[in-house]
Amino acid sequence: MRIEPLSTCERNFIRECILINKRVDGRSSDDFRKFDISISESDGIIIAMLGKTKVSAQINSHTFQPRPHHPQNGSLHIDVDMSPMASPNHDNRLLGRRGLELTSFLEALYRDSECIDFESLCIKEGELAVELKIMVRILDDEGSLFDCASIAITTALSLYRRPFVEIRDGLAITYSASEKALVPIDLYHKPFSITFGFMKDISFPILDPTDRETLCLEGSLVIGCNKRGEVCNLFQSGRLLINHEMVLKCIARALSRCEHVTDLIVAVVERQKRSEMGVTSVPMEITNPNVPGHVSKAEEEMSIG
Amino acid sequence: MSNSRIKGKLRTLRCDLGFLKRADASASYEQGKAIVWCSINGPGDVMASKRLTMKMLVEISNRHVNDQDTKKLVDTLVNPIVEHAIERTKNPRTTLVITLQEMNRDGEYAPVAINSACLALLDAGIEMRYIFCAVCISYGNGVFTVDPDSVALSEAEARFIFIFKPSITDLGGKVIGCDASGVYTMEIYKEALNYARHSALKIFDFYRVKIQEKLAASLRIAG
Repeated sequence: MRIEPLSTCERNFIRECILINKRVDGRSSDDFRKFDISISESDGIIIAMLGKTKVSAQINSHTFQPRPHHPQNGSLHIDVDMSPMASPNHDNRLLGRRGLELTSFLEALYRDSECIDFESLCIKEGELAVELKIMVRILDDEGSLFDCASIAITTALSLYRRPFVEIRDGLAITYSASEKALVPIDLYHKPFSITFGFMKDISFPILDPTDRETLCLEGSLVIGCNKRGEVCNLFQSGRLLINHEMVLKCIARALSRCEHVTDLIVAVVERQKRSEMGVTSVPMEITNPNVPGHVSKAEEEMSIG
Repeated sequence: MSNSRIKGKLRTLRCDLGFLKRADASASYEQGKAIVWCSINGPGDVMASKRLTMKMLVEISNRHVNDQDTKKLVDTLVNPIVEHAIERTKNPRTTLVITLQEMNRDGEYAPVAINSACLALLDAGIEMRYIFCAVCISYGNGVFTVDPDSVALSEAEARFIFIFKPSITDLGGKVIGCDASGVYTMEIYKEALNYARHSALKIFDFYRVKIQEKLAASLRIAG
């Protein structure tokens, strides 16, 4: 089904709003939308909501025989699902160009940036290792899918605990949660991505573009980075010509945003872990006045509204 | 009147309507811990090759249903029931895209998905021939369990899913679909159907309450 096409007057209106630094939803070109995280304990599904964009992430693991050229490494597989629920123009069966783009970006961000200790996922070198399968579902597309998906996946990785696997007497045994404690994933760092949209003849980028704004853009620069000040991934969507000074400016902005996002996610994860262990604590409401995005309390039930 | 043959009752029902921005209609339906999201887009444009001259094309997608039993139920129960309830001749040469997403599994997927689809269709305002609801009953050790969760289902000898449309004459509704699996006699089947009728009444009441809430909110805004 086709989406509402972008008319010339809508495009001009969005453009003028950006030029006066007050976008259609009231944000400046430098502001992010508010984000929220919903954690479902029973099925381990994390839903990240950035504005109205909703992305869910769920992790499962299974054992496999490691590949010959990486005998002491586990692996990671990311599956992205873009159904017509997210947007009317998504196809029922095929992933489409945007879906493939998102999949390859997320795989690069989480696999190639070495944020996960793959060697800890190896049970016996050359014989048995654990593969993490991350199921990413786009539930509602209001722009910034890269950012929202990275929030969901990083939170899911921080909270996921896999079953304990060992080899005893030549048999591979996977224990259930009631027999042996579940093992958390060793994360070296927590990567997040930040999207910068560039419009024709506008010298500055807009951050966290909405879906209508994305239709007006020439292209986007997506920067994957972490709190340690490292850039994990640079990705370009669309046809962009940007000079290196602009890239460096965007990187600086992305790193400062990433710090705030990481702090908030870490607080949410800590609270969730404490509540799982049964430690009662006063619910924390974290607000950061410098950054418009803030994380509200993680909801333990899957209630939407 | 206490009946030792029947255990449990319909789990807590919750529903949020119209919460997705990009979908024309959406329902997040919860039955206990089981959650299914349903989104509807349409009636909208469709490719010439798929277009039907006299009817609306209804495309139903159940995302990521992996186990064989549920896949079979989806093909034989969920999709046909939802498709036939819609008055398809009202919007010919268009398509209605229905997407069902399971957010949490607890018990059978099919009944929760069917109820979620009905609520989403009501939210969409699509003309329907009738509304419908699904109830699951399980039987084991001489006891019937209404709306079993995963634990109760794993202990069951037989499992019945009944789908009803409202009726003035029959209690609960007229049966428009049914799936039964396991080992049972006709007496057990009839008793399960009887228990299911009572639950169906509750579900239809729930639909009424939810739609009244939704319409009352828009009436308030309109002043």
